Amino acid sequence: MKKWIQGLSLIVLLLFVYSGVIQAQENGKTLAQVKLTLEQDIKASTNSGVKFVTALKRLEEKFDISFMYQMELLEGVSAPRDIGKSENLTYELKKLLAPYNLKYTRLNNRTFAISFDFSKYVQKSNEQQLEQIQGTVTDAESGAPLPGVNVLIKGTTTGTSTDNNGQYELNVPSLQDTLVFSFIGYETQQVPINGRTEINVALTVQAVSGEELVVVGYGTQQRRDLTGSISSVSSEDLASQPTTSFDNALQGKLAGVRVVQSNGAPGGRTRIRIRGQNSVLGGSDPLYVVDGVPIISGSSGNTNLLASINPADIQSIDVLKDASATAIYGARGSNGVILITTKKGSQGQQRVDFETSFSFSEVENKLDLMNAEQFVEIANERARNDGAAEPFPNPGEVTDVNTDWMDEIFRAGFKQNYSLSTSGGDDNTRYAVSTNYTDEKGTIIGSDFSRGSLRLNLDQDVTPRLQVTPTLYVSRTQSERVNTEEGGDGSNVMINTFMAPPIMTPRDEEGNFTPGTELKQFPFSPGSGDNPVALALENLNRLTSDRILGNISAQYELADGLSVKILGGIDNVNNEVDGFTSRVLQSGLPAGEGSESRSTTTTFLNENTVNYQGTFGEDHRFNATAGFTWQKEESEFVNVSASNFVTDDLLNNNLGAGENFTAPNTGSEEWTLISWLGRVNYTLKDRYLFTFTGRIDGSSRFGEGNKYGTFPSAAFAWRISEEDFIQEIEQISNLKLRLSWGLSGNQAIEPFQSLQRMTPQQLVLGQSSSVGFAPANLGNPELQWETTEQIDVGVDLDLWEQRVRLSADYYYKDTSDLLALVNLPPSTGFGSILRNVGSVENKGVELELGADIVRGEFNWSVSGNISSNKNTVKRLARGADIIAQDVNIQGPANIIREGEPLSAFYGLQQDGLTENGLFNYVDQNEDGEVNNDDRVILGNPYPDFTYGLSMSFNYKGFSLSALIQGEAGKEVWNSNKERGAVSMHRGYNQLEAVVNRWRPDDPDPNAPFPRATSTLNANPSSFFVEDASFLRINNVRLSYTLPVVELNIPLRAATVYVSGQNLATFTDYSWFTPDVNSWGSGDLRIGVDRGSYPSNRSFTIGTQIGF
Amino acid sequence: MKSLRRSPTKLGLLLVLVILCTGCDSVLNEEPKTFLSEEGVFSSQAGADAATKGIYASLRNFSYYDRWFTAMVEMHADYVNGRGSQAPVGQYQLNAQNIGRIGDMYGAIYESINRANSVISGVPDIDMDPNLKNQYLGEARFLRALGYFNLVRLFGGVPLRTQPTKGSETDLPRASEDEVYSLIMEDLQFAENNLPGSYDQSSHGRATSWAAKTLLADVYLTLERWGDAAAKAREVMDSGEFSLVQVSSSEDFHTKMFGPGVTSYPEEIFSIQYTQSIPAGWLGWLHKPAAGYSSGGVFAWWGELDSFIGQGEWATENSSDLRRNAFLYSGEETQYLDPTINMLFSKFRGSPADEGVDMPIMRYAEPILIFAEAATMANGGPTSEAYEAVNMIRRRAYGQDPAVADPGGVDLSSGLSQEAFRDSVLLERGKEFIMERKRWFDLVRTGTALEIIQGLGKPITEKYLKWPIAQEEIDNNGALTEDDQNPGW
Repeated sequence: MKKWIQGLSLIVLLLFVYSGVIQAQENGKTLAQVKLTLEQDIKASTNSGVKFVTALKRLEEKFDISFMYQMELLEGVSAPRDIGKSENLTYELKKLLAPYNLKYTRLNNRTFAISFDFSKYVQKSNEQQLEQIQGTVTDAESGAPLPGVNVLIKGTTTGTSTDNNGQYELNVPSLQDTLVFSFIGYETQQVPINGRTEINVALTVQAVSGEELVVVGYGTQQRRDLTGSISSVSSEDLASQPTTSFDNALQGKLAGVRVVQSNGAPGGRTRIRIRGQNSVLGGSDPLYVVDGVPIISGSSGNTNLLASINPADIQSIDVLKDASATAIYGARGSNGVILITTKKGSQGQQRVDFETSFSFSEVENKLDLMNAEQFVEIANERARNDGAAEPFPNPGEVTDVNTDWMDEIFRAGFKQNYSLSTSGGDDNTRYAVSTNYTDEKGTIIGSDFSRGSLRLNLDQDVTPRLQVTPTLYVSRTQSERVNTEEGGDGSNVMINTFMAPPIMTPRDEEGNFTPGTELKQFPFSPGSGDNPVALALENLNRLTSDRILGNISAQYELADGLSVKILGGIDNVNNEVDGFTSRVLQSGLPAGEGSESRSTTTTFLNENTVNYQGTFGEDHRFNATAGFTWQKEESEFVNVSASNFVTDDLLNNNLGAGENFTAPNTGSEEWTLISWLGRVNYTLKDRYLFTFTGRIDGSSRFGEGNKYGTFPSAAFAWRISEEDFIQEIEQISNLKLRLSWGLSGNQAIEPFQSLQRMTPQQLVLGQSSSVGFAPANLGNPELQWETTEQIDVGVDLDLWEQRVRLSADYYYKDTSDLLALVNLPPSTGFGSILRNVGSVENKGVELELGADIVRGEFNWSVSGNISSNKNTVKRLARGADIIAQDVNIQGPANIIREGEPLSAFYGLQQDGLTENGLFNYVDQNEDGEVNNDDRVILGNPYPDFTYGLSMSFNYKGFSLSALIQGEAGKEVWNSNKERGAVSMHRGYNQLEAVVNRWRPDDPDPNAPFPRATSTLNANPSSFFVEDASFLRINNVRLSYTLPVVELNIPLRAATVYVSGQNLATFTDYSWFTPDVNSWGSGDLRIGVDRGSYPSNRSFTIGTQIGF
Repeated sequence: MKSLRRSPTKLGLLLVLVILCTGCDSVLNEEPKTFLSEEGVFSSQAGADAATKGIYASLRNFSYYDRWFTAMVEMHADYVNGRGSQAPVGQYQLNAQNIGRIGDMYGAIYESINRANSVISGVPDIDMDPNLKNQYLGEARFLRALGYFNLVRLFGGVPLRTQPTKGSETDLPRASEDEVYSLIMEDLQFAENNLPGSYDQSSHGRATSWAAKTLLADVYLTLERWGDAAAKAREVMDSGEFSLVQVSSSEDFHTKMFGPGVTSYPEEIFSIQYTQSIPAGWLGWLHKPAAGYSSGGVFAWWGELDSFIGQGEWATENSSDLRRNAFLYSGEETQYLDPTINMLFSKFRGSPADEGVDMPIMRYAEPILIFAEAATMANGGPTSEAYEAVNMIRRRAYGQDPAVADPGGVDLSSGLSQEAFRDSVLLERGKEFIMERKRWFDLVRTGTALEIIQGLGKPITEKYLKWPIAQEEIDNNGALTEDDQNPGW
């Protein structure tokens, strides 16, 4: 209470001073003079306090906000000593700024600009003859009016600032003067009046760094204070790409973050690896955290669970890469952490925004298949080569039908997207509410995706010391899926597009589907497969996914600089998969198969943190956080199915209508994680930055003896640019050196793995089903997490007032205690035991570069990144190779071997063709025969480099941006060729290119495709390994922001745009797309393409309207 | 921090945060949900029952009786050839793939043994009905003995594990054959004394004391303890619990014994039980004309016509031995097969959707024939009881009443030497137990395997009498080296 009284008296004092300042004003004083006066007055009256800049920093840290200001404005000015003691930001700001006739403008949620409040200076009574000028200042990009812009007559301190509607009025001595429009964060513009009385100006945003706020996990930090390696993407960056899920939009944007669009289906999954692949069994996916809640991620089949989040709701994405940043997430940090912050409301006018876009898409690259004539020819040739009767002795009889099955399964895709949002707030409450509906028809028939979502974010200052922040996100996504998964030949639509002969039609004249058996009626026909069109349309596979994600946090200030925060969160995902295979399909015979699978996963989170911030003297700043968190996840599933239905009409809606039921399948599991965490940031003289973090995680997943792990990190950064000897170099505006070390973990193994599990075993006794229990595995009480030790050395350099921004990192990661299945002697009754053995290293360099090539009314900026990661398996259990699962009946394509990249390609080396036109394999061990012992490493699924380059041009309301992105030096195992490009070996239709095959009448040992024969031995070999480096024009966008004020449109802002996605891909890869990965995230079959959904090229038109 | 000291409530709040998790450890203990812990299972009578049933379930393992054990044992015998990937087995040119299958089988038998060991070590401490306790221990020891008996006959002395596997201490050298047999006999003696003679219908399929005695008789026979073998087989014959099923046509074998509609029969001593809804996997491999025979190894092993199944009157379909047409049929009857494959096995058959045929492990014909052989060997020549025993089997096979003598008819001619009589018994065993995994063991224990199979022109060598120990065993068992592999592998 005493403090409050002190504070009040100070305010009274300040008010007094403030009025004194007003009285001291005289028109015509220079800025410096004004400042000098101010300074003297304030110094005299406030008994001097702390440096003004220090006071601002204090507020920045306390409220997690960021200020923008011109240094010279505040140099040498002091502030009241007790600044930052209350929890009411508005009050604090007024207290700080008002005495100096400064004012603040809220630029966004957490950024404030500080500028002179010229309205206080204008002398209305002036002897001179004055002309009145008026106008509106707007944001050049959004067209929104800008309040608080300073408008000065050049060479004087006479000026004003714009009101809430961005409008100003100013009396000028002469209409030949020049006006200077300045606003923090925007490029200053000088506009000669030239006799006009109305001058409207659009200001363009000035690119700056260092002042931006970065979410770091259990808190935020200014970028300039960071010691760790963190890359960020803003909402503007996300908005420029019309992707359905935000993770797609990260592609090519961040150094060290590799995003593979592994599946082109609408809402399809992606594969993100931050600084390489760490783990064999433990998973290498990053941790996703939304507004502080680690969420349920991954995929359900082909469908990406992250697609339930509307990208337009995201304010920023911060990616934690090095150990200094990730160690605070302890046992879940080693694959990197992706922190997502959703949009919050900000104080001020209520805004309503409406956005809509329409996208038209087509498959990016359609393959040319053999036509009927070519097909008949190769079929006959194959038979002749095999000494069999030609299947088509009279080709002319069958080639009048010529179906291009690619045309039958592809269609023009279409997406529509609508978002409506409103936000606003007053001094105590800020809110943001949005709703979104997206509906997408994929480029393969029968594949659709839709999403509806609602988001509510509130910030409430209950008292100056208590803030409450509830957020709630609710969504439903629904995807109608066609089978393009993991190469299952029998039902994969893409594979079966090759199975279907071009001499057959998908339907008969009455529109009935041609049965698979009819398509496979020929002597060369493969054993498995079905009509691809029927597979796409008659195989119901619909995932409906409901998500409720929310949290509430309360932050209370216990004492000066000391606050506690309690957060409770929940993420609940309910998945329902409806399945029905109609009797039109062979797998649905004899009378249909229906199924329903439901699963629900719920995460509960509680976090309790204490934060202390303090400044000691001029040189020492502390920011310390400590806390305890608890998270528990529960999941359950139920699968039921039935077959033999009287009719297909009911689909799976009434499984009781089936004649045969299969046994129900249910399951349930849970895990708990309890953690203590702490972080201390210490800043010495504003240039030596130290960060220490530590986390102790206790995880239920691990063995009795190893429940707890400790994950420390330490980092040091030196802001060299603060040193005097650098400050003399005026080209350098920021130079920082960063060093970090730390440990983080990976606990991503299934729960209960450490226990000896006795599982039900079915048997028959007395002619009826009976259940026994038997050990399913050998328990390992020593089981623990994988640990990644990482060092990082980084440099941040900004030149020429941040016109050029450069950030470079080198890192070395060593992941040890790899989870591995270690073979046991079979006499134990078990094949293997899960143990922590082995290690993998990743090392690499990352470079991010940004440059504003032209600043001003015409704005041209470029940003680019390039990164290189080298992955090497260092040690495995007993040094034994691990061979990945078979890709198909051919055999395995990947191996994990010491000294090689994890899941390197592996097989026989093909060297041309034999004299009979068969594959000629190299006998590596020269033992006279070619067998499995001759297999060698054939390639690397990881690129040597990944890069992205984006450019943007702004002129007046026009904005043009482009993103080019690519990967160099990687291979893809193109398993599709095994069906569609081995000279009809398996009886499938072939790529048209296979006309250039080996022929008996033209026995070319270097022909690209072998002899057409059923006896070919198409072993896993280098024949399937292709260079899949690519360069892609990922996105080009042109937008125009209407000058709403000039046009007198009653809107706050209006923008229209057109954009193109995946406009062109330059690659030597022979199949649909080089950016592919057929198997899911935990699979060791990495970089393999088999039957994947191809990527799309799309064109979007859209509009954004603000009221 | 001054204000903290002055503000106990605030300090209290902080403390709560820190203390919040005293006793957190218990949250981290995993409570199994979809499975049971070992302690959970071995804490009640019901758990003991479930763990015991778990051993029976292991017999259904794909790599044990349900496929590879059956396939490998039969294809090594003289009368079966494999197709597709299994073809090298019947040609005694084991390749890596089939050696791998033998390794899988080896592991599957040990999985069964480990489950039995769990019961043997876990059940004694449970507070429960002492009779049931002994029954469960008896079942476990019977099944462990069955596993080791299979192992020792195929591989010789193997690592002798008598405790459930725990942790990572897994090194154990090979035991001698004698040590393995000692354990087998000890287990079976415990089993015969503690297992019930029969069960009520709901437990049909569990091991009885008669099953233990029959298996023990087989063990004695294998060890050439003729007197013990004859005596133990005699106990079963004298029990009155079993009788031979009478047949009057070939089809009767299916309607009364080996068909999917048969749930139990008077001859049954121990079988693996299957039903239509929980079907056998092996059946589809053996015989699946309805689904067509593929060009690969799947479906249909074929008969070696140069062996006993193609000799004498069995060469024709007109044989009056009803077993001929019950157990064998001509491959020409199917449209899918190579016409040169003209003998297939039809003893166990069901439509693809009807694979509930039980798999006999032991049936009453076995102790009868064990007795015939053992008594003759013990006596130095055939006894009248031995003649009667083998003749019972022959009479049934020809559709006659097993109990009514048929001298000059199907009965063996009298006055046979010991050797000739034994050969007759062995031939009778061969015919009677087609596809019941007896023939290979008969050939090996009588020392005739090489001679008979080489006589068919097949390149079998000495090393095939002791199969290769799983390579994974040698690689991962620190007590073994490559030298511990069976000779020749």
